[in-house]
Amino acid sequence: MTTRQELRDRFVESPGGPWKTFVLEVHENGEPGTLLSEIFPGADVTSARDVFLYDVATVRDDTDVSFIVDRLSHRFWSFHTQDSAEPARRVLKEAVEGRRDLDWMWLPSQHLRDLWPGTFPTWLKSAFRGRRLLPENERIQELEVQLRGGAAEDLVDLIGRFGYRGSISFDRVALNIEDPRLGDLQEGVNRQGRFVARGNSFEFHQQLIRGVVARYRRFVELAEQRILRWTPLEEGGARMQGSAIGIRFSRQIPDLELFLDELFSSREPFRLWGVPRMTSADTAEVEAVDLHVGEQIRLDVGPDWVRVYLFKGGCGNSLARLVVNLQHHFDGDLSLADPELNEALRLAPEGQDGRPRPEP
Amino acid sequence: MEHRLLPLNAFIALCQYGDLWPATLADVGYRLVGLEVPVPVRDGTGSVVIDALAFREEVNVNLAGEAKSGANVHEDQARRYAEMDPQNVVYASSVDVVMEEPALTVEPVYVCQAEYVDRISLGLERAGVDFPVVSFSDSELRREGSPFGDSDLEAAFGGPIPVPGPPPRYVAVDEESADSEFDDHVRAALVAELSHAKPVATISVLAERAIPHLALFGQRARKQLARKVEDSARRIAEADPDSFVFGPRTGTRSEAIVEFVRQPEEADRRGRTQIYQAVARAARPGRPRRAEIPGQTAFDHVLDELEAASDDTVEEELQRETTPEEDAR
Repeated sequence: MTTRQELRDRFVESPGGPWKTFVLEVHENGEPGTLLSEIFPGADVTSARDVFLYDVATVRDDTDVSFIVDRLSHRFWSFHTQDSAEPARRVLKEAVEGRRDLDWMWLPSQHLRDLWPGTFPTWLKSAFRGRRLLPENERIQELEVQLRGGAAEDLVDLIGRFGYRGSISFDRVALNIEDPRLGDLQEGVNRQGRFVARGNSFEFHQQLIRGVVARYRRFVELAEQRILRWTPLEEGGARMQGSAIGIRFSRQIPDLELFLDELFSSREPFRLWGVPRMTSADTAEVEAVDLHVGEQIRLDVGPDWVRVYLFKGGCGNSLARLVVNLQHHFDGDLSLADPELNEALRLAPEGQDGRPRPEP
Repeated sequence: MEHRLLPLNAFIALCQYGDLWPATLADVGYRLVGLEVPVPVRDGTGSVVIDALAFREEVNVNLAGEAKSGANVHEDQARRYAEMDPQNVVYASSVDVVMEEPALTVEPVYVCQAEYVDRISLGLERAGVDFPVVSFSDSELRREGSPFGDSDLEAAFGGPIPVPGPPPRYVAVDEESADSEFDDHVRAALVAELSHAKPVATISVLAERAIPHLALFGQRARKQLARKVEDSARRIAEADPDSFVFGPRTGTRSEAIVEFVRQPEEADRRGRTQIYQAVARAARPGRPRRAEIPGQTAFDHVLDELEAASDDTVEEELQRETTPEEDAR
């Protein structure tokens, strides 16, 4: 039975290599221990004295995998492990793919850049993979850059300033940070909310995750405020709340048929099912299903925009997943028409791009 | 979306922030308070159903939108719009009036596609009423006809306002929509149910899913819509018997159902995707599959072989042992 003190000690001692924390979005419905037993069939699930902590021990391909699950951050649960990343990832991936109430966090590019106030990545990987949505004659179909050093972010920005901002999409970053109060921390994060850390302060690791989750949560919850809801009026008619969510691209969609075929292929990473209906040479309407959550989602696609409608039962992470994967596979410089949502996505007021960098 | 429904959706779009269309009415302070709102006229001899109603509480103005699907103005209806009692409008919409002054007013506005604006204006003239008309195309919208009584609103429509394309599809179908218009919606509802590993879906469940704005309609219209959903479900099942079986109402079954033949969620990852793709393909028979970008796969083979022939993998392995960031994969 793990206690929070033990979590701290094990993080610092780090006997099994770097500490891994996978953050999953969990739609809790019922007793959490029972839910964990359903998520990990056959696993040994033990509750701790702390009502938010659970120990989960399971086996994957003859390899023991154990997690300490912390659900203190409502909706976004931390799955901590000191086991190898690969089997742990497989166990969680299987769970996410097989269930409607679990999902990864889908961190927008700018959320990865701004991991901790006043710091900049000392290692980063930007991976733009437009091969499936962009034709071969596109100026940049793929762009992968891996940089290490204090100026890593500067170089990526430089590429963007030469007109290739749409081909920059942060995939993972790592920081080496010191804080006079919290201690030292080496922290790596990828865009699906998988954290790998080493340092002398578990609190520091948790605070960093908390900040990332808070920004992501804000984006998801703002999206959920836009869910379309219809309430009947007493004498007839209805009142509508919510709105469509407009996504603006910084580039035209060069091949709409290709774009639609891939977006609605039911395949990873979008996992959208749909039968696009062309309404003109450059616009289409789609009644789709987000297969991650099994809910309907409506989309309109135009020459350089997409419009998304979320309905009752839908979830803000449907928008997050779509937007992040579009950043990664089509346009790293997309924006949202709604200023509030756009600020939550890009972490900068409209018209500004990213945070100011301090003078060296 | 049917062209018929564009004007109603255009009015709604002008009241809602968040979309690509300009929220011109919202910018001025108008809030959408009702759709399809029945309001008795002043003399009590009849009523008018306001297609879309917005209210600006700072000036107590009810903006009553009549969405014209075509070019015809019903003169009697236009005159009833002119005779609406603002107090009745407030009762019908249940909107809270937060200021005693200025006095409540109703301002009717007609909304139509640009190609019909001349005939709509002419029709209003014949009816002897003096309303503003908001017309729109795929590239702009503008106020024509009489100016708005609300000077802020008039200023907001001071010139053409660009739009990026058609308005959003908040109300995508209604009881007058052609039967075939329901198929995309019902098919998506079926797939949503399928993705939850349900063995069967009833028509009422499909109708709730396929028509999220069902609350907008009265009982009679809902029955018509349920019938259209049922007909659509039957058509879809007949066209794709590998996926769906339609079960009509019987003496012991009060509503029709659709049974699912294949359960994608029970298949492995690849099989699951293939079943969903098969449902999509059945919806557009004859459309050739476009599996890849020409030449791309061959080029990828070259790159794969180049990767295999290079020594980088050893270095990557070494790096994996020393950097925590690699473990984040």
